[in-house]
Amino acid sequence: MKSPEQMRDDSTLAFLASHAKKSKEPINPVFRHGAGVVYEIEGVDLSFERIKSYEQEKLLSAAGAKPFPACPKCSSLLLSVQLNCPDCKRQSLARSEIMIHYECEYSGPVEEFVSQKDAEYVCPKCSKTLKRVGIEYGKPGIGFKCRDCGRVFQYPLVNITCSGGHQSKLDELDLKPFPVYKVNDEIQGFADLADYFLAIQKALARSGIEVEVLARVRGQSGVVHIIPLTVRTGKMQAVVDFILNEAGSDAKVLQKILRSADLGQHVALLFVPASLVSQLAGMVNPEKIRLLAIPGNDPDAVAREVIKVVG
Amino acid sequence: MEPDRARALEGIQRTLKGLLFTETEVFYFHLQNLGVGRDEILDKPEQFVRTIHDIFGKGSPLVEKTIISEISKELSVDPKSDLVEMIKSLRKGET
Repeated sequence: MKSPEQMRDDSTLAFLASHAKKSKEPINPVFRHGAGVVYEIEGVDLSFERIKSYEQEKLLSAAGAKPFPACPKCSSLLLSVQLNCPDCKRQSLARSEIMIHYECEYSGPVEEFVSQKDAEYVCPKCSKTLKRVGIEYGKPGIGFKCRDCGRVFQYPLVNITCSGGHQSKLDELDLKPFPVYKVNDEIQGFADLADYFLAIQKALARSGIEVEVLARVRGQSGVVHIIPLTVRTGKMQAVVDFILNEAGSDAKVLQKILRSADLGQHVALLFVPASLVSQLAGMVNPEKIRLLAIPGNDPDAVAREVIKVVG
Repeated sequence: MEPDRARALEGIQRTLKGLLFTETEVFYFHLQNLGVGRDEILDKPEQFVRTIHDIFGKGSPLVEKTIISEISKELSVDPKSDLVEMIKSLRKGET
C-alpha cells in the first residue's frame, strides 16, 4: 500500500474505485428537480461537474449518450407539461373513457351515460336507452372532455413550459445529450485509498467503536457527501476526514470547512500532514474541526488518535 | 448585463469554483438561503461577504483575498483591500 501522502485525498474517487470492483455497469445520467443532471451510483448523486472532471483525468470515459428534452430557447431541462383543449386552448380537461351514441352522434365520458335508475346506459342528449355495444353505442377508448367548451377529443394539445417561462410545442423541444460513462481501469489506482480507510475502520471496530467507511451523509444543502469515516459513540458523532498531502492544502481546507458547515452537528476530525497543523489551525473553528497530525503510515495509529478524541 | 459586469461575475464564480471545486454548489445553496442568487453577487455584496464570513470564519480572509486578486487580474483593475468595496466599485464602473 502507498503511504498516505502518496494518495490523493478524494473520498469520492475511493468510493468510485470501490464501486468499480463490484460493478461494470455504465453510469447513466438522471435528471433531478432542483439539482439538474446528476449521475447516481449506489444511491449517491454525483454532480455532472464532478463526473466531468474525472473524465478529464481519464478516470471515466464516455460510452454513449442519453438525451434529455430541453427548452429550445434557453436549454433549461426543467420542463412542465400542460394539456390544452384543441378548440378553446384552455386547460380544464377531464380524462375519462369515452362513449358515443351512434344515432345522435353524441359523445362524452362514459359516466354521463350511466343511468341513475338501472344498470343500462342512457344517452344524455336524446335520452334513448342504449343496450347493444357496437350497434347502438361504442367505446372508442380513453379521451378528454373540455369542461369549459364541452369538446370531446382523444388527443389534447401538448404544451411545454420551461423554468424560464418559455413555451414550446412537443415537436419543438431540443434534445440535450449527456454522456453515459464507463469506469476506466485507471480508477483502481484509488483503491489504495479505500483500503487505507478500511484498515482504519477495522482498527476502530476492534475497539468496539461504531464506524462506517465511505459513508454517505446528506448535508443541509441536500448534497450527499462521501465521508471517509463516520464514527458514533455514546459521547459524540464525528466525521473523520483527511488532507493527505500539502498540495493545494489552502483550497482543500476551505472545502472541508464548507462541508463541515453543511453537515451541521457533526464534529470533524481532520487529519493533515504534521507540517500543516499550525498553518491550518488559524483557518478552522476548533469547535467544529479538530486538526490532527497524520501519525505516520500506520492505520492503527490513526485509529488510536480517533479514539483519544471520541472514545 | 454589461460586458464588465459579466466578466466580474464570471471571475468571482470561477474563483469560487477554483477554491471550492465540487463543493461550490453547497456554497451557492447557503448563499441562496441568505437571499443571494449566484447571479446576484454583484448586486448584494454585503450579503455575499457575510455568507463567506459565516461559513469560512477564520478562513474567510483567504477567500476574500483570492477573489480580490483574481478579479483585479481578470479586469486589469487595482485591487482594493475590502471585497465589498471592490464589488461596489465594479458595479459603479469606478474602476
